[in-house]
Amino acid sequence: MKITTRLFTLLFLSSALMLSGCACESASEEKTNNSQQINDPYESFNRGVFAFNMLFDTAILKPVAEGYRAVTTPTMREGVSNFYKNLKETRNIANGALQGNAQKTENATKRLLANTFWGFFGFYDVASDMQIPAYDNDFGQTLAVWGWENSNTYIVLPFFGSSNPRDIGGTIGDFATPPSLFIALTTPWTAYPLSIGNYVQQREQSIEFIENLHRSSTDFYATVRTMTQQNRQKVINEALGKTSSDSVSEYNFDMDFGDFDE
Amino acid sequence: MKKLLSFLCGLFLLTQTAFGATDPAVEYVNKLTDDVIENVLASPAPMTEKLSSFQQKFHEALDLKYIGQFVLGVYWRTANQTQRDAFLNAFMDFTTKSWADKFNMYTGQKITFQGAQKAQKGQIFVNSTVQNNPPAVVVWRLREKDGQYKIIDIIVEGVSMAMSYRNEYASFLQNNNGDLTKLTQTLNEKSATFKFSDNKNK
Repeated sequence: MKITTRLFTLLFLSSALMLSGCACESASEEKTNNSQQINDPYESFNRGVFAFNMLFDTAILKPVAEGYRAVTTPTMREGVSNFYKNLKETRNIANGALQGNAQKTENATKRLLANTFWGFFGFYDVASDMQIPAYDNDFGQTLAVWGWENSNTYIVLPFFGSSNPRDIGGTIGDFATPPSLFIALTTPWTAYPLSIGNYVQQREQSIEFIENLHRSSTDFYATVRTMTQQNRQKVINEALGKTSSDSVSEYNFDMDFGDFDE
Repeated sequence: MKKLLSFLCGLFLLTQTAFGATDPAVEYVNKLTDDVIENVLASPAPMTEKLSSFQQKFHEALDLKYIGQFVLGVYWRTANQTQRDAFLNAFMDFTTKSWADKFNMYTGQKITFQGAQKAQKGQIFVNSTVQNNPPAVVVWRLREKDGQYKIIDIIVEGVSMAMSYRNEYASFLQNNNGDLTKLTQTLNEKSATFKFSDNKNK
């Protein structure tokens, strides 16, 4: 029983710490290698998990996020968002170092120190005012840098959303990055509200975005699948040090069909 | 003196090239976005007026007929003319409303341009950044048609509009026995659900 509770804590905490930032761009999370290829051998299973996630979102997460918006001001919410981003800097530092990227490690360290000490535990993003750029770094990106560049089998996880084999490994790695594992093991009573709070504040940021996606989609599962995969590919390309011109060649799929009807 | 003059001339040319200030594709997208922001998004006009102005600009700037054919992929080839026309009409109306709905979330962000890159078949990619927190990379894919630029794709943070629609519709059609008429009908139904009002929530 204790193990189950702890595992659940771990799941929640890691997801909360790993998702911040990108959830507002992509309904849940991401993946693939080639945006033109859909590799979804477990589609019916994935659709089942996706339906569960949507149900959870409609019944619990979204209403709570709307409640959070109703009782807070934009300035308060910005502070909370900054606080969670600051917590994640330790993960950015660790992965910057694991990828041998001195610049990213240095920036994340500076950001953590500046925001924790001068930014009142991270509620104010003074580092951005000091022109120290933020990078989102995770263990999935590290695995890509270490050679696991292509992992495009689409998998939907409960609560975590879109993933693939490499990024599932990444998620597990992110658990082990301090302080997530430490907090979860030593003070699970802190971990629960902390991670649930992060889920809620991230969901609040994407209320309009996800509503628009719903309205714009004829097959919401397929929309989320393709968007999260493409977005994740961009993140992986950046981690691999591909310049923007490489990224452009990445998008340069053939749109010039022979029998185009003018 | 002559040397100084030629140095200054050289410097001027270098700056012009380095910043891509003269690139016509960048200038085109820059003007277009400025126009849409100033005269539609930031305009105090009533929503109905803004919407019709947006629709007109969107139809002028994007090659929606071209995009519509691309997003259908192989299904375009097997469709008859009536189905094609019906789909294109539905797609054009739906896409315009869907993007108007997206742009409705605009809250004053600025767009900066980082130059353009030429691709094969006369296509051009214009790179830009929306100054959001965090900043979002937006790439505009253009093609020249009758001496005029037309946008054929907008790629936001790595997500291509054209590719996303194509993947989504492929999935829809696979799950509906390739029934294009049903897709068209669904798009028309979806279009009708977009509601635009003058009250914004956030």
